[in-house]
Amino acid sequence: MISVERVSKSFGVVHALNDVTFQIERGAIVGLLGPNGAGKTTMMRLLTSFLAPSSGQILINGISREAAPRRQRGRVGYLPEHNPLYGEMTVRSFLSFVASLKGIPITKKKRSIEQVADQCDIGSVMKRMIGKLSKGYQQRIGLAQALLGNPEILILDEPTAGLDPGQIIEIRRLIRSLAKTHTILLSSHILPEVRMTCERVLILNRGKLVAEGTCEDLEHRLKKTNEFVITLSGDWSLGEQFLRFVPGVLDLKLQVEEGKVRHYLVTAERESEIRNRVAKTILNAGFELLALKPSEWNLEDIFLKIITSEGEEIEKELSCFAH
Amino acid sequence: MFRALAIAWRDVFSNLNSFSFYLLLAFFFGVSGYFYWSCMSYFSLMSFQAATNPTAQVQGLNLIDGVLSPFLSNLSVLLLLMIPILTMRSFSEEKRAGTLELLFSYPVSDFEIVMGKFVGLFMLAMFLIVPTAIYFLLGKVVGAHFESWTLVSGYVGLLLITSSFIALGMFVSSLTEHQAVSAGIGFSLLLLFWVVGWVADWSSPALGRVFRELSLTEHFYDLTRGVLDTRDIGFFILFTGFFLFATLCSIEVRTWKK
Repeated sequence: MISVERVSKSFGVVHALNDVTFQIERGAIVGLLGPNGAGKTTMMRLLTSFLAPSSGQILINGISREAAPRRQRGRVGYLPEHNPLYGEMTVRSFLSFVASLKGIPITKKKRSIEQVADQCDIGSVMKRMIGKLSKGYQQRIGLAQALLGNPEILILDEPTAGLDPGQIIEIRRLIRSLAKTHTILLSSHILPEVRMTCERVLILNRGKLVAEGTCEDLEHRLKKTNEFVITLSGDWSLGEQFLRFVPGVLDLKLQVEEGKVRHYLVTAERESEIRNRVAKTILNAGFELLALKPSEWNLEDIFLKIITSEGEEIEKELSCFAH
Repeated sequence: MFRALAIAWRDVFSNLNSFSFYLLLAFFFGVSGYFYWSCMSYFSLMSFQAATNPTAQVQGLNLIDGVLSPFLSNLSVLLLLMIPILTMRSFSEEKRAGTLELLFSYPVSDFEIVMGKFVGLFMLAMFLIVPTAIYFLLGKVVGAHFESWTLVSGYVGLLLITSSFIALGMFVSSLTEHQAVSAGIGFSLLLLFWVVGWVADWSSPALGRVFRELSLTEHFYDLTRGVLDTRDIGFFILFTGFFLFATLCSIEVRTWKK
């Protein structure tokens, strides 16, 4: 389990992180989001003991860096941003080197290397030089070095950065398979990927934790209104008039027009459940109701809502949820 | 310490796989061979003159002062130029490539990282220095018999001064991620410690003593002549230890709270 308690980190006058608190339970897979300069990499570097916090405490399975830095590092596998590797080494010699540094006994070294090679599907390139391999393979090697020694926690900084779509899918699949046996914290700019991979997200902005929770939770907290999309067929102008008069409807926006079919975004009061009323009104008026479905926010919407200037107000509202 | 050896071996392996290291080796052996040949030729000429001209002032002419000491001094100047080229990669390159961050994420202490780098570089320096002992074995073939003890003392001195160069070079490398800057500043600082003794004669006696004590050449000279003085050995060990400690502090800065 990762426990971050009131952690701040300053570099001179620059406050990279400010009073950040969160917990990640054993076996969870959590996404760390934030715009550039939000403090994501600093947070990851603190968790791997590369940096020390200016104040606050980080506990990895109850162990702090000050108490046992080596033990703490031994429990964390880290894939840094840009995946730095020794390009002049072969994959096998690099993994053997990492195994030595992680203190894997010589008798178990070969087996451990083969195990991670199988997991990451790099068995076919073990004798090749890392610098000559494709970015996808290099990313797998980065993951393999993080997995060596079977650390309980994996910290992955932009694991799919710079990969082509095929490679992204492969790496995503690999991370998901690892989630069964590891606690994973990953940062990514690809928000759909985070939504697909992670159970929970932490959103950092200007060094502060501005939101945390599942995407559905965040959406629920941020949405001030109830939105759904209806698809109609019939006389538009009359249909619009009918809909506007349904009690609880606040706004009606035409989204798409496809011949006789129109898609409207209906905004209603948050607490009111008016879908049934809207449907009845439409049918009673003789229109064809082709579809009625709730409008879901994607992670980009949530992220932007929090991060943009509009989100500044929400930040204040959400601070009570974050802590 | 097993982890430090793994780091040392990786650095050695990395250099042995790089073409530039072989270029460096070729240059070093070429120039050191020339130094040996010129020292031997000069000594032969002086010996010949002494043998043919009994009035010539050749008192104290021997293989130690005529060949070994100047050869090792020349070799140390060559190392002064070349060690910063070796050390510039130790931290600067790893910082630039980001692999140092990876190294710090493993359960390895900063001390082990510094010692690993130092041992690796020292082993590489041995690749340069140890083969030059062959020159003296070849000298034996043509009748130049060097005392084994003097040779050992001279080479111990050379290894000690090399370890000092490495420690200072590593310290500079730990301060920057630009290899050229690291090599440039490393060379400049080594040169400063090389020539600092030269101004001792023009300074006040107290200051002159300080300059002399700080000078690498002053401490190295006696070792090249087979004199193993504990003060000289102690100086090189302290010099190396100081800069290794400075390197350790330099890489630990990242974990300071403020």
